[in-house]
Amino acid sequence: MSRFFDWSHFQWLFPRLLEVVPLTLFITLTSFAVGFLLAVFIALARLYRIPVLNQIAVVYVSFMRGTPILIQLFICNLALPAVIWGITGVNVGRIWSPLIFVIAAYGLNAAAFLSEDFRAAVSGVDSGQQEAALSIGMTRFQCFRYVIASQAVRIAIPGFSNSFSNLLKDSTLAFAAAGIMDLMGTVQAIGYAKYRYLEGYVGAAAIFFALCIFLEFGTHFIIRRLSKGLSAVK
Amino acid sequence: MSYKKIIPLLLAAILAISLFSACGKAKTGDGEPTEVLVGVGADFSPISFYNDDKELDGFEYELLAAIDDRLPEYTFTYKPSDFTNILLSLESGKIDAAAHLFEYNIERGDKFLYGTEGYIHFDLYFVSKTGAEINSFEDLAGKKLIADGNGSNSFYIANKWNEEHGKPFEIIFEPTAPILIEDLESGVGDATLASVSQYDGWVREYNADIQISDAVVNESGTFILFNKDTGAELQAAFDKALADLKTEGFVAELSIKWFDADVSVKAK
Repeated sequence: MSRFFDWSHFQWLFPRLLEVVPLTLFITLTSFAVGFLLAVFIALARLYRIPVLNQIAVVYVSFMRGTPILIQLFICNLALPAVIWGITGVNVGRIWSPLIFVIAAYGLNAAAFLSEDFRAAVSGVDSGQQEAALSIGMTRFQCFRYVIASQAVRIAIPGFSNSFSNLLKDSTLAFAAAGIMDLMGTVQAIGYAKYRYLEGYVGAAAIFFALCIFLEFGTHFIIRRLSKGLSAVK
Repeated sequence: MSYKKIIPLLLAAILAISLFSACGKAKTGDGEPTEVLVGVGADFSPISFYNDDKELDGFEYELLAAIDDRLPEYTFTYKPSDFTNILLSLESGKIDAAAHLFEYNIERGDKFLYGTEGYIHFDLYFVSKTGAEINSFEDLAGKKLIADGNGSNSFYIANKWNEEHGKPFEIIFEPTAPILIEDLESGVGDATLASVSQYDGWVREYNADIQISDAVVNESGTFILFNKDTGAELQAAFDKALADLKTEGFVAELSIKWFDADVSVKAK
């Protein structure tokens, strides 16, 4: 039996890792949803240069992109409950699952990256489109809703997909920061209990790789659908 | 469907949710046992870990369950987590008690309330390639000590001694056990600190070519930790239950079950 990799242990371990994939996906999907909603507001504040909000958004995005996600997780998991405790007088750290704080951290982080994807996509739509829409009497909202947004979505998809796969892989830090027994937590826990680590890491790598390939195919499919009739644009 | 209709609906939903969560704070009746949140290890075999059935198991877990049985006024809820996170959670008030074979050191003593009943005699030894050459920190001069992380008490002891004596040896880090063993065998590092049960595990699982020193580097009991400000009452209850369990021989039995030896201790 090799010290580093034992095939029979791997075969025993792999199904156990598959069982926790739903939790990892849950963390990723809910964080992405939270991030997406926030990102819309951040991007709009920046695109329409809404006073004060625009400046806050700039600082926020730069802070989130400029600090490691692990530190953001620690801050959210330790400081956020304390802040809520201070304001409301309820010790939510005791009552709420640490999952909530982890999802908050990932969501806040994803918002920064997604808002930039949004902004790039909206800026990527030719400005003549907006001018044309306004010239035929559309309001700014109608112009955004019917002309800009529909085109921007297609440009934004690859960026979103990229942010999503990053988020999926970043979810591996949830155990280190908050002790969540997700995919990585399980790898770690079984690793210590059985004195075997590499099998878990290889198994987790295979799972993440498979998920990302699936995501990639999904993205290609969506882009192909949205690009119908636009043969020049891939 | 206009947006004007959706917004009041959303607001109503938010209001309803916040009202519901306010109701959740209903006070507990007098007869109801108080919930105690206990932070325990999730990956610390054989102390507290998830077994093959994905349930918490281990020496410390069974001990806590026995304490819970003795305290009808409390009911325990376990919060499994990794080592560092347990102490951070206790500090920030997320849990009421913490167990992870915590030894005593001054820094922790300042931050947390220690139980007075120890439950394992935790001796640290040097583990090295030959075992004979390194029996004290002095023997390590000019050599390298491998630590598995910087949150453990073994690192605390080694680092403190090293700083107080002008840093005669170097501390390197290797958190992954099989690599740590490889480093000891190949000479990347010269020694590490470990308990007998850890050493036995390495020899058994990795067929490791390493030896344990004769001399004990550090002796300490291990204790349950509580919140410094609010934990006094809980600590007294735990201590009482733990003391009874020790006199009745339960801790010794549990120790033999999990470690093949009685490593339980009397009060500090």
